[in-house]
Amino acid sequence: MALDTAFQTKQNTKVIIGTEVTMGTACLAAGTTLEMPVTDYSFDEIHKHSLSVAPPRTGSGSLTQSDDMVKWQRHDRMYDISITFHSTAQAINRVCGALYGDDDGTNTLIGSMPSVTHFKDGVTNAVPVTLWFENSAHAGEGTDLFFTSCVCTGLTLSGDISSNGGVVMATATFQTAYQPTESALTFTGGTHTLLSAQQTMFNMHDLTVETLNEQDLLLYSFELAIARPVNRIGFDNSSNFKPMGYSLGGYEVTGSLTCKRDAESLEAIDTDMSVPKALALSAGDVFQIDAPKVYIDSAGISMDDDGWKQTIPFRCTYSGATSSTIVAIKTA
Amino acid sequence: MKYKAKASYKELDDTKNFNSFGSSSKHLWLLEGLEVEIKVVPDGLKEYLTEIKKTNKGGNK
Repeated sequence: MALDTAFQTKQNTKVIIGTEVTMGTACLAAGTTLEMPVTDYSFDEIHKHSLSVAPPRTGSGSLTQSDDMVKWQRHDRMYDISITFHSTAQAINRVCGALYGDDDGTNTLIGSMPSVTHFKDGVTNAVPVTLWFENSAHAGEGTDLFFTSCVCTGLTLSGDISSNGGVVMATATFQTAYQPTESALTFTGGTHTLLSAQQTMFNMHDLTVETLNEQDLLLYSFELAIARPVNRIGFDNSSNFKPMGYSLGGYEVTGSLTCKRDAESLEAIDTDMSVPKALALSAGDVFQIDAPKVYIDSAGISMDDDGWKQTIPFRCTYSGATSSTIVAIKTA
Repeated sequence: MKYKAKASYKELDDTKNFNSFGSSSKHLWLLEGLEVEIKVVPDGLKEYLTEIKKTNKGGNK
């Protein structure tokens, strides 16, 4: 056998999110896609499995393992995919849509979400997405790799005024129980938003409102994370162990702020009050994070050389009616 | 403009209601009978929504 000269590189790969129509069927050639402003990504190997091993028998001459006692286990595999990207409006909207069904620019997670809860193979469902990695098949250049019916399990927004040029970075995590496919990417129609249409990134330097409990904070950095678990239901061992469906878990919305420690920050973390507090970060209409009912976790002090800072972990909730907002990540 | 859902909206499946237009929050609010601010109503949904008209303070008719 001669050595294979094919290879793959991260820099030579576009990452595309494709909208699906039916769970288990990848985004159609004439579908809707968004090229993500990705800076980094990772995904599991195509032949993912775990080894399942029976315990050895007792007694002399049998404390070993035969090939009948070990199996490649594929019925429970879930492929993990992670993408890190610049937080453009289009990218944020698309991931919020995949995570909780809201991608119209108001991107509001409310108490009664998710609206779509039935995730069954072969059934119409526009929530799962196809994640397409250009030139990522084992053949390298010219052959792509895509993951079908990925469910978004998390979105983390991170902004630091002294890192990444102040650009708010985002990381989205996905899982799918469908084996990935190696195939060339060819779109013959549909609607495709390219990277060239996403020139504006959200930036810490643009923030004009940084308040918690109506106190003005001098904010150095923040993180906001929305996460939910997903589990596969069943398997079809005649079809690459594809799932019969997914089961989705509950959302958790947490985060943290790092700001100058002063009278405003102390008032912001004062928990001697009966109601949760409002968090608002805003760069005008183009980027806002609003969490009206925030519980402060254990705040701390970071005794830095450039002045003490207040670290404020928090958890977002809704209050009263389930139609109330937990968090909105507005991009318009 | 603010809108409320007509009874017929609640009969739409997820390929036709606001879920299919990327706004699960609007969908859920409409199902709860709330008035929802909607800047642009998708063409396919106009007949299932009722616009909430603003009334003048003076009670003009």
